[in-house]
Amino acid sequence: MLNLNFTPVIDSLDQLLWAATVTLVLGWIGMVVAITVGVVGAALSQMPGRFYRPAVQAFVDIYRGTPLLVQILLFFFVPAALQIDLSPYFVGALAIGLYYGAYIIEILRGAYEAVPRGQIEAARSLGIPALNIFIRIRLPQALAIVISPIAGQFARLQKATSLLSVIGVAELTLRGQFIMTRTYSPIETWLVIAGIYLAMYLVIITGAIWLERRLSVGRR
Amino acid sequence: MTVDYNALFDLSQVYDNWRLLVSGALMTISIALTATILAGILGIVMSMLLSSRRRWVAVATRGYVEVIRGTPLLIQMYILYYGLPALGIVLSGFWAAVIALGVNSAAYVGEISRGAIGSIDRAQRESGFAVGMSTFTTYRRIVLPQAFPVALPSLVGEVIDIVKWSSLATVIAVPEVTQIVYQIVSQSFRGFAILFLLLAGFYFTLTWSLSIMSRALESRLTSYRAR
Repeated sequence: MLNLNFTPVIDSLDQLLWAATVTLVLGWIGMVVAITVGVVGAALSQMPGRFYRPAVQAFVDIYRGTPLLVQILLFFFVPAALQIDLSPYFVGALAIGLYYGAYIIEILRGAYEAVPRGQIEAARSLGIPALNIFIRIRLPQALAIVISPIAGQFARLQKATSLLSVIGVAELTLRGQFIMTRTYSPIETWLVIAGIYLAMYLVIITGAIWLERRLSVGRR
Repeated sequence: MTVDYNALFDLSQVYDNWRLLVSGALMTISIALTATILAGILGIVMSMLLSSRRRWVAVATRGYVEVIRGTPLLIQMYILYYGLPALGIVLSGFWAAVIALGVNSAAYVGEISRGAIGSIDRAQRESGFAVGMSTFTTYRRIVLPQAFPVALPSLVGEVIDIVKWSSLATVIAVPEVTQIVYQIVSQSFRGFAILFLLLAGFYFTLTWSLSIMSRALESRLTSYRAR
């Protein structure tokens, strides 16, 4: 029954590798946007006053409460409806970055508040300037606990770039659809593509474990 | 050509298509509900396999979990929907979506449940055995009532994810709500803004009420701690 023939798919390997590069680059751009959104959002929510914290919270709740696909479609259709010419690559990476940025805001906020108050007070009473408290005491400890959840979001983001095939971004999944219709071997096509995504995932996860081990040196 | 802003907010598109929209919303809810049940059942199996004393069972399950987590849901749906017919198994779009969502979520649910059960002190279980309870009774009356509130927020998070990611069924031709709105909007941009607001509002209402219910349930279930 199981009679797989991978030759037609392997023949398109150069196309697949090119598309995989597009997927990787989209993932990196999305991640840069997501981390920027995360840092800015987390910083804003620490600002005094009654405006920033609820505003950031509303952003986070709305972004996390609606499907990424709906957001991508919205980002794609709004410029089209207003007759503004924007590349789906740009719009897509932005949409994905904003969505995962909302998750990263929560992670960063939690990590920042996780550093015990006693340490900050001790540093203050020793007369260490506020900037140094942040750079030398808060940041290193927050970074160490933040690596693994952020890597988890990166892995999700990398997989989510597959949704951009819906708005015509020629990444791995869209290329897969072309190859599937041309070769008539759907199962082989999707298995190969799943394998490529899996490899990307494993690289991210392994990298995160390595980085976390290096950053938490102080705790050992 | 100028943009007709009024047309973007044209309500008549909603009136004219309300039956379609409601049927799409119901389809989304039934996909999510079926997938949640599947994820629950498979998740329990996964958590038992993950904590199996036979090492190879636990290792094999872990490998399976990583493969599921490491590949996009969209690709899993394509494998089920386009790939399986080549092997003689034909699934409708609905079932392809439900199975992909359920299996995907089960990989996370297994991990969550195992973690929650592991967080309950061993002595609790041993005391249960000591007073002569069977394994089943010990779990039902002692371990699970304590583990469940621990796992609840993450489990509800999984249900919320299932609701949101059920929108991917659009790409395998399931007439759920995102697909319906997409079709109406791609005919003309008339009513575009209002339709998308409704669509986002629909998902937000579902996920938001789930998280509120979760918080209420959690405080009820943990009220014994305050006493």
